Amino acid sequence: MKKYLSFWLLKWQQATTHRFRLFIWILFDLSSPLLMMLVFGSIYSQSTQTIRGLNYPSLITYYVLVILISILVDSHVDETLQELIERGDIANYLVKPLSLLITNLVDEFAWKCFRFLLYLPFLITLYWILRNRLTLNVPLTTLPLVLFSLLQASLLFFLLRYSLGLLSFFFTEVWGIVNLQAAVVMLLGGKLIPLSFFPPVLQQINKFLPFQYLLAFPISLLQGQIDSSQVLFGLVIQSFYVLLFLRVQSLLFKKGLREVGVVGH
Amino acid sequence: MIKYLKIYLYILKFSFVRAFTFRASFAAGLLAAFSHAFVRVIMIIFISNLANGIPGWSQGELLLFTGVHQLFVYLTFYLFYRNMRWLARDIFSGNLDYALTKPVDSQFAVFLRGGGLHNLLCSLTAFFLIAWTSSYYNLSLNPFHLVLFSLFLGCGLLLVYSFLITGTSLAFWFDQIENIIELVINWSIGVSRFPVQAYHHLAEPVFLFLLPLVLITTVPAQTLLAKFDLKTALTLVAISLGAFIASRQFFQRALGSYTSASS
Repeated sequence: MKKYLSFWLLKWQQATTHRFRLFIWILFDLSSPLLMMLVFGSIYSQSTQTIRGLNYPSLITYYVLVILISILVDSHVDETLQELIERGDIANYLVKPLSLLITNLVDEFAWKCFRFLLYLPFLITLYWILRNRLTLNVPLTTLPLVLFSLLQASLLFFLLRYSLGLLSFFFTEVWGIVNLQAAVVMLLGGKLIPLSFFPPVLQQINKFLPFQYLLAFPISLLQGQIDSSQVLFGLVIQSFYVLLFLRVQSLLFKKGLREVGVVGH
Repeated sequence: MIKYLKIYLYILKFSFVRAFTFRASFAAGLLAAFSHAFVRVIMIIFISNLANGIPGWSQGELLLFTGVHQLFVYLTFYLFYRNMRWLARDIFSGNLDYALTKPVDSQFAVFLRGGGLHNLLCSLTAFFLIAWTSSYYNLSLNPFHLVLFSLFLGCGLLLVYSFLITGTSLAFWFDQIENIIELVINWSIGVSRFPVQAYHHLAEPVFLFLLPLVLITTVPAQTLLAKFDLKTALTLVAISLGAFIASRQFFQRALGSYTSASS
């Protein structure tokens, strides 16, 4: 446990090295949801009606939650793994009493905690600016469920990206596949537009795919838009995909080790 | 001028050689570019089906607009993305010397060294989308409008180029900020994804802040659709030229701070 704590502290030190760079990433992450809020303003300004169950304040709340949940859930572990495998640095993990999965998981959660603290002033400012338009009403009873779904979403995103990163054992270039996954998550995960704006058939199919459980599901829990049976169904599907990707990464890692060749220095 | 054109043709040739040498990377690039384009088209279809969609734009017109936007995105990535990343990296490592000591204009040498060919190929899909939309929705395109369209698209690219030069030049003073390229490109692509009418409801300061980027795709798309507005078009041309001159001066000034490998 102590050795992994060192990784946690190391990650925080690394994260604070280039502060201007961090500031740029914050602006980057905020840009898309803020732009979508502005654009939807023009659609809603034509009529005061609710569109597909969402009025404009709910939509603004949705995009604020997209920013918040993305900070807690997004993962880029695939990039780390690609680099480790391509350069042969993965050998460091193979000869030391360290688990590659746990080390990266610790790294990831350290980064997410740091990221959350870093974004906090921006989130508070955003809340203050939009305070009269936000319609967030989370009953205390659902809070544990929200936290549980967030934890699962975070794990699921991590394991999905981790599995994609492990594909570097087999392919020289995986960034195309990672980009494809990112595009699908943006659309089917609900990052670009709320899922209620999708055609009903696509909404039904999407319920059985992992993508909406990364972002849209925790948001709908926070917005109190789904009933208890849908919550239960969502949590079960989320758990299923967490276990599935846990198995997938384990298989990929074992198979990948048979493929890997590391050149000595 | 001919000398620069010749050099650029060599760079283009090298891009082809590079693309077909690293075929996996090329295929990955194609997959990435297609997937994001596909998502953008789907999103526009969903949005245009909501209530009245974007004011003043029918679904067909919005799809054609998306084709123009795709073209802008692919050309931006093809012309600028890699060059800007290389520049930021070279400033940090001190390798910029190699570009600066060449007997050509330093700005040309560092900003037009090559591009991801997959983006150039993907731009064909944007042309396909424009052609298909205009045929399916009976939107007539005439040759004169196509010429004006190319001119205004060029102005839009010049504007983004100017923003990118300015942003990337900050790397002369700050370490490891190549992500500013992602930020500028993300903002340019994000804002120009919707026509100017999508922002008309905004307060004037916000609208004016976004306006230059919104015009990048609105003016060429309006020109194609014969909705040409001289005032808006001249605004784009004036902003592009002004931004280019200002960014060139900024780059030359920033270059003065470069101290080679020891910087």
